[in-house]
Amino acid sequence: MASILTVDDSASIRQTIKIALGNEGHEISEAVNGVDGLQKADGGNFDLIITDLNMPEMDGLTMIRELRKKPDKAGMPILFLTTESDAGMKQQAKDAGATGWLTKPFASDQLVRIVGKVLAK
Amino acid sequence: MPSDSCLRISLSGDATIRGIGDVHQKISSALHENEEVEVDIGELADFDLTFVQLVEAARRTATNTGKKLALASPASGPLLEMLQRGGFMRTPGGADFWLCGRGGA
Amino acid sequence: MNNTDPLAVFRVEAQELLEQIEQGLLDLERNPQDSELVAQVFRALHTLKGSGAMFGFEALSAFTHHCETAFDKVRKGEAVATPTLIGAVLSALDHMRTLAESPDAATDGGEALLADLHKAMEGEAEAEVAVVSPAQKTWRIRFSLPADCLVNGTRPLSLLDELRGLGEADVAAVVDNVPELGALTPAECHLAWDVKLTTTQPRSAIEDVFIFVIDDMRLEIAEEPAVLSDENDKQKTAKTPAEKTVADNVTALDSARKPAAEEHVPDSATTQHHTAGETVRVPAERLDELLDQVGELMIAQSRLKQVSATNADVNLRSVAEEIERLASELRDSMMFVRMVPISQLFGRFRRLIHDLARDLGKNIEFVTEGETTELDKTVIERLADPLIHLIRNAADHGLEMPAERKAAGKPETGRVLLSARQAGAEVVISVIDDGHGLNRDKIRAKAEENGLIQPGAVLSDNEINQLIFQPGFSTAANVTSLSGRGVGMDVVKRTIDGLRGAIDVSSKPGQGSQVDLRIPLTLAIIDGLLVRVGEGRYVIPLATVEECVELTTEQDQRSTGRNFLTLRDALVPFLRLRDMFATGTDPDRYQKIVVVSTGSERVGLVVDQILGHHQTVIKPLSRFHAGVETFSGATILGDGSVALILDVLHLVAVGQQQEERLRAAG
Repeated sequence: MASILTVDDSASIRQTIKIALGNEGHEISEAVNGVDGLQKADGGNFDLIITDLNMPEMDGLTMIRELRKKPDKAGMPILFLTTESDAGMKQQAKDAGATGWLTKPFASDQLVRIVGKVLAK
Repeated sequence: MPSDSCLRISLSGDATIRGIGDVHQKISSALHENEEVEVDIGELADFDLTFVQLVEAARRTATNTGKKLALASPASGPLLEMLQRGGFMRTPGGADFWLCGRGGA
Repeated sequence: MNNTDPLAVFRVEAQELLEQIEQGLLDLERNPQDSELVAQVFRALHTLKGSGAMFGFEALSAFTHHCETAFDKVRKGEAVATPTLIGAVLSALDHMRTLAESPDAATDGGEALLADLHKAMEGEAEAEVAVVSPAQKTWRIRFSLPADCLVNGTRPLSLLDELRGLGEADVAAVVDNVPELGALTPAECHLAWDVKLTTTQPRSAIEDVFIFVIDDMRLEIAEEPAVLSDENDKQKTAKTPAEKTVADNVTALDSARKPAAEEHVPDSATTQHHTAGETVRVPAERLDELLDQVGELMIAQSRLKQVSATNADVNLRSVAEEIERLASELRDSMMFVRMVPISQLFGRFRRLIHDLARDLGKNIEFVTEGETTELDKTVIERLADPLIHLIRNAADHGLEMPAERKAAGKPETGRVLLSARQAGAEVVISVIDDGHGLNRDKIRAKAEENGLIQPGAVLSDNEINQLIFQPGFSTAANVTSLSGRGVGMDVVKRTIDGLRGAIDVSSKPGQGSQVDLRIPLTLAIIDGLLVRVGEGRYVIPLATVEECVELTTEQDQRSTGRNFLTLRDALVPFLRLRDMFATGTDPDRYQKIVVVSTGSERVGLVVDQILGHHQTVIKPLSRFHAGVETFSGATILGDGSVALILDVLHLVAVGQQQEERLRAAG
């Protein structure tokens, strides 16, 4: 069981993630944008963060960069959700320090598998 | 610097990517100031691949500077498991070093 | 982006997956040993099952599960993709399509299909002993990860576990690039690995392990030459990944035990086989809306240009020019966005051929060429039906039965070639068969019988060939279930006409026939030449314009009666649009001739004045005017008035007729 933070402005996506990963026995916390995500990440000890890229207040790219500046977040897997078509976006997110991605739309078993992949130590 | 200086250092705390900086410092200065260093890792709370890599770097430094580096006791338990998973028993001299010359790879 | 209805997304996705499965199966039919294909079909089935369950398509999910199970066995080397199995899953696909469209549809036939599937698998189990398990290969994998991979959360050890999950893996770390302590940044990764992996899994499964870092890392995967004797025996005992996991005293984690082939990231893993890049899925209507808006923008821009041209304000002019440039770039990009490779269309016909061959008892080889040729998506959709007719026709009426072919000294397997290529401003799609060719005598007899032509009428070969596209024409002595169905080849002609395209037919007795569909590249927006005839303004598609010459008064008078123009030693017929349109005005003093062509045939169009280049958004004519052949559409000019677009194909035909009449008259 892992402690996972999901950062997305879409309640339905957060809900989808919560149900899928909750069923696997993970503990899910939620944040609604990058600023909220940073605060929650600071206040908790998460095994994984799953974040959207397009969000109000602070986008996912900025949040990933901020997270990676923090020494205690080194090595923590960060997955981003993307619907972006251009490889550029994916590369930017990877350069910012993301571990991997999941392309929307996704089925829950894909999510579970990808999460399993990055959580494996 | 005395030629017979031997230091036994005991590593403790976090030897993962988050705390590896401190361990790096500790091993570096020990090897810098002594001809022989014995590392006791029994007290390590946690370690990951960065620790294995650090020890490999230390082994290289020791070899290049004609010094001796050894473990106080053979790797076992989770560390041994990680070394096997990562194929570190298959590096040149790797098995000898990690098992203190007490076992085949 | 987030408010897209997941159900709608699933439906689209399901269709795509079914399509992929079908393609994979058809490919497998030819290469049953191709483990990449097996993995691809399995992945698609697996995803379909998973997503189906997520979105409430339980029946689909449950049904798909059986096919997935079958392919899982094939994937693991426990079964072979026999023609029977492929056939059973292909039949099951249609049922899955129904279930994907309406989740609550009655499951008629589902059980029979499953029974077939199980039978195919049972037959397989019995035959298993005789079957060679899919080839095990040994790969030498060397990799090093990006320096920041550890900070970024990548876990090399779990990647190694995943490799172990694929088969028998021999892992050695390489520490050669680890620097000395003084030069080491301890959080960076300087480790590399050398892995010898013996597996039945394809190379893609190995690459999938590294999916998140593959672009940024060094990865070499090389196939090791087969090793002999005892080494080989040792490998044979390795068996399948699942049986092997515990071999090392390393506990593989759950996620690692699953072969990475299952790791599924929709747009990079699954569709990679078909389209290399990533894609955004956008509903077609949105593109249409966008195109409409681009069209409106072009019209507004053209008005702005007129206003600024009569205005002394330099700033206004420069802004107007800038907007003109941007608008035309936007238009080009828009057209580009709408272009899709014709492979989307061609792929559908393989199943058709498969079914045709089975139902007709013929051996048919289906070859496609030029699948990367791109066409506007709306055009592609409209081409589907005509091509189905042409291919059916080629297979049904064109190709002979195997015995007949053999007797004629041809290979027993007939060939249908579907090709696409771009030629200038059009795309030519050809359906070519190597059958017995068109029987012109039969066609003529049938056409006479149906009153399409006068008995004894003098017709060129081409004209006779074209008769098969006449409404109500059908030469099949016995209308089979395949090519009959009450729709004839006239559907083809109607559709191609609607696309402002043309059909060429050629045929050689005993050698086969060829039908070329020539489709103009873009539909909705064209570059046009704006001309004035009398008081009206008209647009000529620029792509058809060869040159513009002056019609001198002398030429004008000399050519009265015989409307020919000598153009570099060639006689070109010309049409006086003033007369055709009955303008009732006096001709301009300096009339111009716009020479247009459609491939080999040319005609001159006499106009009063050439007004210039005009980007034209084509608005279709109302139904009421649909019968007017001289015009293919209308457009709105900058000042808001309407200009008609000349149908060059039609005008060239008229010009050629005129030429033939005059020649006949001497």
